[in-house]
Amino acid sequence: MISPWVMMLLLICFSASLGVVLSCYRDEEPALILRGALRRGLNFLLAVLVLALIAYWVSVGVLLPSG
Amino acid sequence: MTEPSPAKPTRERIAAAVGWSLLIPGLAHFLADRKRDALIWFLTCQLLLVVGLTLAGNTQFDFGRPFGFGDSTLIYLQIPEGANFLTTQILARVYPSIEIGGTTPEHLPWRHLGYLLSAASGVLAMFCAAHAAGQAIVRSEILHPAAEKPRWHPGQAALATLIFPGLGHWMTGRRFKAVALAIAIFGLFVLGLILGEFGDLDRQRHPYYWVGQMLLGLPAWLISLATSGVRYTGVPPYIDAGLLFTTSAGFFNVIAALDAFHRAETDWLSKTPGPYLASQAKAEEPKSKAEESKAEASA
Repeated sequence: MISPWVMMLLLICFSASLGVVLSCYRDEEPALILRGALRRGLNFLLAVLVLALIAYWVSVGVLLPSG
Repeated sequence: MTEPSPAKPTRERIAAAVGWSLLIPGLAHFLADRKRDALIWFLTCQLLLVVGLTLAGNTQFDFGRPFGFGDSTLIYLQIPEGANFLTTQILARVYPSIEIGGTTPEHLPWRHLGYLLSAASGVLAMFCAAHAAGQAIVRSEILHPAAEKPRWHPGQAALATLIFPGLGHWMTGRRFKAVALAIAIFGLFVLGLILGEFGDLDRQRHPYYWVGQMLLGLPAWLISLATSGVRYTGVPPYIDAGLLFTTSAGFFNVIAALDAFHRAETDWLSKTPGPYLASQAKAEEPKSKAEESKAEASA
């Protein structure tokens, strides 16, 4: 059984990794990398969460046959 | 301040070096009169490919796709072996997969090693192109006589990333980035392995993900070999996340390699006459202003 909380934790891990890699690619100074990693990681996390909520709303509220 | 960039003739040499290297690994080095490097690259990539294909009974070609018109094949799309372009094209036409004769890869005890070696040939061919591009920069962009020569050229920095994520940055003195990239990329890869219960690295089970995983370089190759005997008794609950993480780690390593190349290139170009003199003048500027104010005070 897949737990949504574990999936949330995994999303945080992936966002952090993505944020660090992108910031290392864009910036050179450690302070800029740290700030950029946080900003980019959060951006990605929020974007995925919003898309997940929309997908959930569509699947439950629109596509599920009412009975 | 804008970063120095290679001159147009250098950029043309880089493009040619990448093209020749992807056609035949080592050819760009040969044309640049680096015969020893050329021989090492050529033999390494070709031996890995031929031995890998032999061990896996050429079943690598079952994961590729012929592309052409009608019955005539123009190119054989084969990833990642296809980066060693010409030899892969020839071998794909000459040696068919043993599965055509009705044998399955399960009968080949060394097939996992075979897949690994042929994949390493393709990935190394890609990084051979980066190495040749780095040498093109070193050859074309002459350093200022007073400048200290960087220890590593861009191609070597990119190649080091294949040994371990972040190593290229470490070698060029970017310790913070090196550690950050190593933790982010290798950490993601290990987390993916745990989620996939150490069975994610299998070409037969997950051929598309496997290509991305191989881009992580030596750590992934060794782990792939060590976990080749892992068998699933059921579907791990987080296998999808595991595959996503390990594959993304491979692609992130390519980003790290590109960055290592670019930063080492900037280091080199900042020591060519124009940027070097500009940086010297900038370094002396505050000193001369301080001297001026001192002279004014004494007057």
